[in-house]
Amino acid sequence: MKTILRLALFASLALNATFAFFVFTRPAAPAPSAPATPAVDGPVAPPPIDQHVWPDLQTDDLSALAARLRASGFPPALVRAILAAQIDEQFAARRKALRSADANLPFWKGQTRDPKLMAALVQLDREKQKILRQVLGADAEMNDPRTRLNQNRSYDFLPAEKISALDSLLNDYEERRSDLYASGFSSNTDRTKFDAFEKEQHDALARVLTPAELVEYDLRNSSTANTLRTNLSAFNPSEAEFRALYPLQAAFDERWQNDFGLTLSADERRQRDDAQKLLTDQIKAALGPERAADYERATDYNYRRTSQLVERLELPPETTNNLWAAQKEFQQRRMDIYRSTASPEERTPQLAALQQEAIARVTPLLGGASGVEAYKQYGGSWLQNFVPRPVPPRP
Amino acid sequence: MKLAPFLLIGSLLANAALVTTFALRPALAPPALRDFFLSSSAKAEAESAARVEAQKVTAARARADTARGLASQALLWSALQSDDLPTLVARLRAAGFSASLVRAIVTAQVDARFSARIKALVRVVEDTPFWKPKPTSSFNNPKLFEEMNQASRERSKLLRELLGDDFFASSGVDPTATQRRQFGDLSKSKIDLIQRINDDYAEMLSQVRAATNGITLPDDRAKMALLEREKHADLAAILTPQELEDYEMRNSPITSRLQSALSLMNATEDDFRTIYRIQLQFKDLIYPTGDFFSSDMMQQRRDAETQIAAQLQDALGEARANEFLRAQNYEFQSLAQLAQRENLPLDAAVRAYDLRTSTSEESGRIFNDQTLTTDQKRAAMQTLAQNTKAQLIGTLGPVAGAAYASSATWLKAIETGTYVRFEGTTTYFRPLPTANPPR
Repeated sequence: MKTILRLALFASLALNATFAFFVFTRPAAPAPSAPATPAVDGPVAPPPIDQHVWPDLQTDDLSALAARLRASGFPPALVRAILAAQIDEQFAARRKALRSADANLPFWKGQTRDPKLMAALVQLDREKQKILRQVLGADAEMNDPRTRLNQNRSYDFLPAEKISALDSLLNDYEERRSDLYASGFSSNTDRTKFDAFEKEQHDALARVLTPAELVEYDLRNSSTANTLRTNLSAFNPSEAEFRALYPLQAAFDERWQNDFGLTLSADERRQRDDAQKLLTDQIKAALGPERAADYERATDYNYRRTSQLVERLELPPETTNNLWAAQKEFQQRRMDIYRSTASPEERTPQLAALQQEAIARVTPLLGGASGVEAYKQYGGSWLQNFVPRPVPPRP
Repeated sequence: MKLAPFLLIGSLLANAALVTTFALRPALAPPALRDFFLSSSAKAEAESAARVEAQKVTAARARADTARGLASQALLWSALQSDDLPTLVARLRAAGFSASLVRAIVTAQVDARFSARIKALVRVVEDTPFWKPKPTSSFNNPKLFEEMNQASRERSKLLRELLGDDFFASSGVDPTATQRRQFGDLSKSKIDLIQRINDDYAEMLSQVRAATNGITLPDDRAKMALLEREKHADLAAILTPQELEDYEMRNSPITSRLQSALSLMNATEDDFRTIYRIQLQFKDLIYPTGDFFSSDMMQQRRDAETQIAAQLQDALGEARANEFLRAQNYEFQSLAQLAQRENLPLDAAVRAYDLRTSTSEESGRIFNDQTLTTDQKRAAMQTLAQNTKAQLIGTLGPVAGAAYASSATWLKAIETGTYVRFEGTTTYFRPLPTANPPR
């Protein structure tokens, strides 16, 4: 009896312990699962590179394509390149239709330059760019340094906040200018139209820039400034000199830049000559006598070419001025012969002798006969003009 | 006192209490007994809870898979990308990118590689003070100009090597047509050889040009001529004589210069070949290399033009030869463009061009008329110019006619009393003498 009691007690206590274990060690209720994306455990492998990669990325929805490309780690320049190629693809049929006349063009013929076709092609390109901008925003721009170079714009004088407004204004005018060219207008045959267009652009600039900024803009970007820079290349002006010469040249150009030579009446030619003389006097006054003499030499085309030749032949730099002095001296002596002789028979042998003397003088300066031959081509044409050529038959 | 019976009773009571607890809260029961304590509704509730829990687990797994997929997808470009560009091309092709996309991507990558070099060159320009000449022209800075050309050539060469035929791939353009225009029916292997020869000689020519610094000396011309001869010899070594002539014809600067004129006169292939062969004989005179033309060279050029005109007349007949000479004239090309712009037939441009010829001849007649005084000649020329203007407006319409008349230098010159004569590509002006006006 005792044994049974003991067994029953042990069994009951064991049950007590087991039940109590389940009651008191019940696992805590699980926390509600977090809705956020779970962290990725362990290393992640890139997707396999197979024929499905592009088809899986591709969609006709360009915004979605851009998003997919970005999500796939493509950098902005490549997203742009791919979208541009896709947009090209979408426009291919239209382009092909426009260019259908050139479909089987033989190699010896040029592509059609019909102004209406050119205008349509420009329009097509613009539509493509517009779509790219809509999809990519600022990333649509290529930011190619060569574009900046071709645009040839200089704004280093402007505060940063004005640059984008000015750029945008100039881009608008650039588009309109390219429309004009595409429509068959040329600055040659439609000078008046283009002059009016340039003036309109300048007026627009004047509304965006302060008067002082406009002066700075013109000093850097106007056609007068471009020509002046080239003409003054051998003069090597200081900034102050350039600033002093620019307004003088600009005033002359405003009236006479596009009118010269035989297209002017005798009266107009006289007015132009007077204006040119006034300009020269003003420049001399602005520069002072010494620099004015430098200016006279350095703005002579032949002097500039001679200077380049001297550099190319690795001759001492003073050679340029020595050759210039020789040219002046011999040209004066040539004039003297013309004044002192009455007939070609009397004059020609004297001129021929003077030419030989001139060649003998410059030959050592130029390092020998080959240097003289090069000089005749680059700056020394005066050496060949001593003896007049036979007069061609009158028309 | 016997303790065991009391303990047993206590233990049994405790067990009864625990069993009651399990009956009330089956979740507390041991798993094996849990079903025993559950009621049928509670059982259904528990099953539902289990399903929700299972769904949660599945969703969590799906989210994890998505996250893993996104993370994997984000690595796509890094898996495709390679600094070794041929590898990149191979991977893009293997990934199913079209030829035009491969070209777009590889071009962008190549541009990025050249970017630093181009930026450095551009910086030279940007850093030039505004009062100094811009070093962007071959005149102001031939070395920089050559360096830019060199970078551009290297970029094209690299792209061609990387892309092969895809180099010509561009949307809407048949790459084979583009290639055929340049190479005709030459085999791929010959095209590759030609391109290599071209690259080599372009490089050598570039070095010669860069060294000229804008001044082409006789030595430089000799070097350039030698390179041209050697290139011709190299090409002759890989092509048959017929292939060589065809290739050079397709790629000659003569052909590209003739294209506009040949389109305007609607030339046949025979016309083209005849004109090309005649011009080829005088190539160095009519299309000289270098940047300087002495008066002797100009005269030689005029003589060559005369000979070409004579040979063309013999070969094509007078009418067709004149059509070509007219089509080649820059001013006629401008007139043709004006006519197209105004929706006029080409014939309108021809009539305007003929007016130019007849007016210049009339200006000569007036200039040489011994019966007129200088003032009368000037007045007659002015009248002639005004009549011509009116005729031009009648021929080309009020907009284009007026625009052309006001821009034509020859007409302005006649109006101011100048005899104008056209000869080949040269225009001669002989103004009437002017009396010295009172100053």
